[in-house]
Amino acid sequence: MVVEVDRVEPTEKVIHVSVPKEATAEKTILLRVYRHNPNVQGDEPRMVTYRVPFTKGLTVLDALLWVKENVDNGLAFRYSCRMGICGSCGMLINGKPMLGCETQIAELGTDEIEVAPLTNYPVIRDVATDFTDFFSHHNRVKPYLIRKENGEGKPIEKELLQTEEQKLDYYQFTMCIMCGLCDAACPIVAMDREFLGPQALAQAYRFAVDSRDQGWPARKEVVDSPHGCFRCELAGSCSAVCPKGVDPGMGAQLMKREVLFRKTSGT
Amino acid sequence: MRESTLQLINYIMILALLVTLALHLAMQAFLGVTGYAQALSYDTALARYREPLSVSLLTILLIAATYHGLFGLRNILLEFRTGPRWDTFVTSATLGLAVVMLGWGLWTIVAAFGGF
Repeated sequence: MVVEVDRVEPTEKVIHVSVPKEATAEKTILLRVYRHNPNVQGDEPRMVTYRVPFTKGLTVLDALLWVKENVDNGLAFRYSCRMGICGSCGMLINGKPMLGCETQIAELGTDEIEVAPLTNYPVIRDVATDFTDFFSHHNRVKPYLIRKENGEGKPIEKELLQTEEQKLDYYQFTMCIMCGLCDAACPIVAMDREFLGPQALAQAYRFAVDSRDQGWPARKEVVDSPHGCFRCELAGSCSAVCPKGVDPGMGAQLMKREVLFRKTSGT
Repeated sequence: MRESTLQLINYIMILALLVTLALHLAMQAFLGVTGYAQALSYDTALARYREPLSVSLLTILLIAATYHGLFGLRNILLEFRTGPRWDTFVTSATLGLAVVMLGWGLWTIVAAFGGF
């Protein structure tokens, strides 16, 4: 159960954990990790520092796994594929939303790495955050093809042909891995919990301009609402942090244009 | 009313604001006046309220500025809190404020134009 919505700032108290004897690497890094379990009464947020042996190619996720395997198996964080595909290991690394598995420590240019849970998400425990609202917003924009003849949610039985140009209209938005970094970086999501967010808006656009889709009337109800696409103020931070090179900020702007175009043209 | 409709009206109001504000400033500064002091004199100001073209310009400027300003205020307020009750309150409050501002402004223009 998640009990914390507004993030509690961690205390300045730092606990140093010594390196186990097995660690024999010449160079080490300091990994400062946010620790907090909102479900345990009296468990205050704190930053715990671990000294982790550095090896070539070490990622932040590798470092966290090393800590979990060798120092503290109670450390909680989410991960799965370890290769930037599943989008599970989103976290704040030195204050910026990044994927732990795709961030090499050598690239950060420092020996002190700070890892914290993503902003704009409630903390479940330590670095693991709750994505319930994120997936709820994603589902609200109906991120799937809707065909009139079949009805929403039913499988499409016939082949739907599409030209290369039609595919390019939405192609980049299919690269989204739903890691949620864009929503973590978005200042409007931070202010407005009902705002759909850059990820959901980009996905709404992806299906709205798909030549095979016929679900605009239903999707329009969601994106053309007080907390829909027109709430986006184009801060652009969503696009800056996307690990897959998707431009959700542009997706939100294109969504606005699409809504206005369809409104004025009556389509 | 849908957000897209409000946004579309806002875009139109921005265009109206750009045109009318430029004309308004031009009229105040160098059209038909010989200097700054004359532009601000009571008779010049009153005369401006008696010309149909100037009155139309001021009316459009008032409507466009009021809509654009209050639409922006509504957007800011909607981000502060969430919930359908807050949304309704903010929209109603800005609408009420618009009625007061437009009523007051238009009354001033009409009263001066009619010589009341």
